[in-house]
Amino acid sequence: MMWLPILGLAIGFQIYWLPSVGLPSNYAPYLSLAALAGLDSIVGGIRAGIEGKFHDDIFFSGFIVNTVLAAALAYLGDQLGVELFLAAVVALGGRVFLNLSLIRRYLLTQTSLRWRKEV
Amino acid sequence: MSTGVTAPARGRGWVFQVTSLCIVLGMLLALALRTQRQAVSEGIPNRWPALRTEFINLKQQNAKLQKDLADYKLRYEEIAKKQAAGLQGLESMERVLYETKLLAGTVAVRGPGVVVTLHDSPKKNVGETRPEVIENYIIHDYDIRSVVNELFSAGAEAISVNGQRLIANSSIRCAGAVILVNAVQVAPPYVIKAIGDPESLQQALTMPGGVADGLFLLEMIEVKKHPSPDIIVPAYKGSTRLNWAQPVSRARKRG
Repeated sequence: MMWLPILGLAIGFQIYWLPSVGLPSNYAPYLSLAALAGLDSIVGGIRAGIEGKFHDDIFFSGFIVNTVLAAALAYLGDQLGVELFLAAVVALGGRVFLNLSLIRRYLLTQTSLRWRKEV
Repeated sequence: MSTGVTAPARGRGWVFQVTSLCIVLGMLLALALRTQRQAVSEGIPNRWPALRTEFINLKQQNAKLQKDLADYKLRYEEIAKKQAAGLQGLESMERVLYETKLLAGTVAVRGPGVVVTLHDSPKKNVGETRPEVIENYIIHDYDIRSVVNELFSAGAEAISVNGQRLIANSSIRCAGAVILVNAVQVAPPYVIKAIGDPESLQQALTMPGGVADGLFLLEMIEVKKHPSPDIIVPAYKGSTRLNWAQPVSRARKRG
């Protein structure tokens, strides 16, 4: 069951990769940041799902708002001459790693429990 | 499928929802990657134009030096022959004098080249009265200086500004509201005639990031190539007398 999101990721990537059109290249850093924010939302959603706290409205709105906001904040930072881009990368990156480690822990606990049952 | 150890009441519907957004994220990632690659690939060829001009310049320089070398060899042989014939190389002395005059700008010359016209920007707003804004839309002495300098560096052999031939001790400066070239007042439009390779001269001015970029932006400059030798640069009309400078050899004798 857990491989479904990964499969979705691959499918989505393929869908957009094939037509091979990019936006003007000065948007590149903002798009990358938006992608990172999206990844953060997804990982957060998986963690919430495993913990049983998943709310679809929070998840969907969070995904959309976070991606847009991350890009917009980075753009604002560039306009003001403040490196908000780095702040966003550090904050989002930190959260992604934290959530990933929690997910790993849950999955490991789950597997070991199942293993004990079978033995 | 695993047994639901940690997922209680709400069931496993969230996996499908996460999957649907994962598809969106995948597309976002692909878009970001495409755009990033595009940015990287655009970054590299930006150096090509500069390298290309440099290469062409070096090639031309090399060809010119080769030709010079051949010329000098010929002249050496000529002088040697004449000296052997007892003519003391008087004729070749005359030729050297003539060439020196050409270089000094005391004779009018003609040849192919470019004609550059500088004039005040037509983009200025009609109602504009602030002097610090208007200043940006008019030609200054330093605009003419940098264009002339660029033309010389691109191999121009003779340059005149509104009929004033530029020579070794020429100056271009502003005095109040007017521009003086060789201490003679000139008025807009400023027509700069330069004799040299039309292609190189034009490229030097239209090069991206070059000195004339700002002038092109405000439509203050026009560059016209003349491939046939129909540009005439007049002779320097002022005095060439020197009061202070003396050749080193004579000064030494006096001292």
